[in-house]
Amino acid sequence: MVPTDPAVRDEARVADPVLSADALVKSYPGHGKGGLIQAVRGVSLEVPAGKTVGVVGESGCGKSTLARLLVGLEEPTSGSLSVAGHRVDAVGRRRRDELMRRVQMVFQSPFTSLDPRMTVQQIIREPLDVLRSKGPRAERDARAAELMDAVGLPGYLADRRPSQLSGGQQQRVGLARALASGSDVVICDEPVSALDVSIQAQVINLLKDLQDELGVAYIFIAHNLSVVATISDHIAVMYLGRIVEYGPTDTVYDDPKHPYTKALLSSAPAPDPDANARGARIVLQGDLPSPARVPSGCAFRTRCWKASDLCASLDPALEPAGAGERTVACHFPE
Amino acid sequence: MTSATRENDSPLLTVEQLSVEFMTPLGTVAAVNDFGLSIGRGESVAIVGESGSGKSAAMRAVLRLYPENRRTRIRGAVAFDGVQLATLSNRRMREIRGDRMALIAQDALSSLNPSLTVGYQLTEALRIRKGWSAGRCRKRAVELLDLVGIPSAAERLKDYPHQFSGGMRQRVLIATGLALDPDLLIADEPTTALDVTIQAQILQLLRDLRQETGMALVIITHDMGVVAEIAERVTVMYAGAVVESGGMRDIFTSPRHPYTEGLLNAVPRSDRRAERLASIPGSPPSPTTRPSGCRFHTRCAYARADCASVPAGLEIVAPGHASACRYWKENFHGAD
Repeated sequence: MVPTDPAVRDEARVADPVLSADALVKSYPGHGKGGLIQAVRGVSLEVPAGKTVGVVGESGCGKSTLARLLVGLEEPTSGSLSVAGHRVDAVGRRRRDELMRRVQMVFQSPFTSLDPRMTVQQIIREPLDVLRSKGPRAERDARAAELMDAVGLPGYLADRRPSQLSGGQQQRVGLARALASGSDVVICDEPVSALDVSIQAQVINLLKDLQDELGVAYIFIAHNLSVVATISDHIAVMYLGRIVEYGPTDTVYDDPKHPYTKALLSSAPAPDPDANARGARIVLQGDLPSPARVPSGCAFRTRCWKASDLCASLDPALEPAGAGERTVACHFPE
Repeated sequence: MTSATRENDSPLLTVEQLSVEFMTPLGTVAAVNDFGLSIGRGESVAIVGESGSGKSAAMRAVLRLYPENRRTRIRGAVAFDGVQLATLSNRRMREIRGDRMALIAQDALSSLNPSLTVGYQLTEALRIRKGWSAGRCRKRAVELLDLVGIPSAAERLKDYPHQFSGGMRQRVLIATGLALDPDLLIADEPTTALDVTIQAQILQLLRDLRQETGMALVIITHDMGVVAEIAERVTVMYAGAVVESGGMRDIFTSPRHPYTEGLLNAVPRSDRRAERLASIPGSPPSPTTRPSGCRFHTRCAYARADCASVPAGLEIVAPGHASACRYWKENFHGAD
C-alpha cells in the first residue's frame, strides 16, 4: 500500500540485503591530547528485506552512532554502506540520494524530533514535498492521509501540532514520516523508550503490523532487551563500538555465548517474582569504559569474570560459534 | 528517639485520603485523589504507575514539599511514627524530612549541585542539622560512600558530580539520602535513567542497605521488573488514584484490577517472547479531564455500562489485597 518508485525498486536483486554495513568505523577527535573517541569500531551488519535486526547495548556502546551512520547522518571514518546491493560511496550524489531515500529513521524523543510549528499533515508530507519527482499537491495530501491511517492516527489530528499530541501519537507521526518516501528499511533508535508501558506495547505491535503489510525492514536499536527480543529476528549485542555477539534472537537469548550477553540478559529484571527468585544473576562490576580509552585486547575484559592474559593482549574476532548463524567475539565463550 | 518506646508493629507511615490539586490557568489539575498507604517499619513498598498517574505527586505531598499557597490544595491525613505531619511547624517538618525520612529524587544529575564537591553535598545535612565538625563530617562522608560501594571513597570526596558516571552519581544521591540514617527512604525512579547492568547494581545496593540499616523503603517506579525485584507490597496507581494494592506476589500472580492485569501483560519479556504484546488501548487520561465513574473504564476491556457513571472505591478482595474494580469478582472469577 505504500507505493515506491518501481524503477528504483526493480533494480535491486531480491537476494541482496536491503541495507548492509561493511566494517564501519567512526571516531571523533577527543578533547585536548585525549586522542580519539572510538564510537564505532568496525561494525558489519546485514538487514534482509522485511526482517528486523535488533541492536542492544548500554549507553556509550555506540549504538546511536551506528544508527546515524546507517541512515547517512554521519560519514564513516572508514568502511562502507550498501543499499540494495549498491555501495553508496561509489555512486554520484543524485544516485546516492535515491538510494538513501530508502533508509529512514525514527528517533528516540518523539517530541523533539518533530517540528513544533508544523501540522501533523505537513510533517508527514514533507518527505514527499522535497522529492525531485514530487507529484501534485492533492496526491501528496492523499498519501499523507493514507499514511496517517496506516499508523493508526485518526484523520482529525491532521491539522494538530506535535504539542497537542500524546507521546504515543507523536511517535506514530515520526513513523509515518519515515515511511512516507517509500522506505525499505527504517532505523528505529530507541523508538519506545520514552513511552509508557501500555503505549509502548501499542507502538511495538504497530511496527510489526506495518512490517507484515509493507515488507519494510527495521534496525531496532534499544537498551531494553525484552523490547528488542519481542520485535527482532536477529540480534546484535554491542559493547564499546563492536558487535560482540550476533545471531537469531532465539539462539542468542536462550543460549548466550558471550559473557557480556549473558550478564546483560541476567541483569534485566523480569516482571515475575519467581523468575527473579531463580537467581543466577550476574551483577557486573564497574561501568562501561570511556570510548576515548578503549581497553587493550578484548574491550570487555575489564568487567569480565573470565578474563585472562590472552584477553588483554589479543582482541577476539567475531567468529561462528556452535550451530546456526551465530557469531561471537570471545576467547572463552560459554 | 521516640520510635524505640513505641510498639514495633504500629505502622511507620500512614497516609489517608490524600488529595493534591493544582489550580492552573487551564483549570484544576487533580494530581492525586483519595490516596492511601500504610508502611510498616523496615518494609519495602512499590508505588507503580505510568507518567501522570500521581505517584510522585503523592509522595511529594507526604513530605510536604509543595509550597503552601492558593494554587495548591492538599488535603488528607499523613501520620509518621504516630505524629500528624500537617500539624507540625515548617521547622519541625524540616527536621523530620531528612532525619527520619529522606527523598531521592528522580534525576541524579540535576539533583546534585554541579558546583559543589560530592563530599560537601553529602555532609551538608550533618553540618547544618547536627553542627558536626569538618573532620567528623569527612569521616562520615567516607563511610557513606563506602556503604554505597564507591571505590577509593576518601579520594573522591573532592570530586564534582560530573566526574562520576551515571551509576556512581545515583549511588552518591542514595548516600546523601542515607546521611542522617532515616527510618524511611523514598526513592523516585532510582534506576530509570540507568543501563540494565548498572540498574542491577543499584537494586542490589538498595536490598543490601535495607538489610544493614533496617530502614523502610518506598520505591516509585513504572517498571514492573523493578517491582518484582525489590518490593514486598505494591500499590498500583492510575489517573491519580490507587486502583489496586496488595502483597507483591499476589499482585503479580492474581491481579484483581483490569489495569494491573493489562500493565503486566503489556510488559515485553525476553524469557517469554510473544508474537504480539497485549496492549491497553488508548492512552492515560489527562489530569485536567479525568473520566467519570471508574477512571479506567475508557480503556477497560471488561467495562460495563454503569462503570462510566458509578465511581469505584477500593474493596478488600483478600486479606491485605484491595482492588478498585467493582466487578473484580466477575472479571477475575477462576482466573487463577
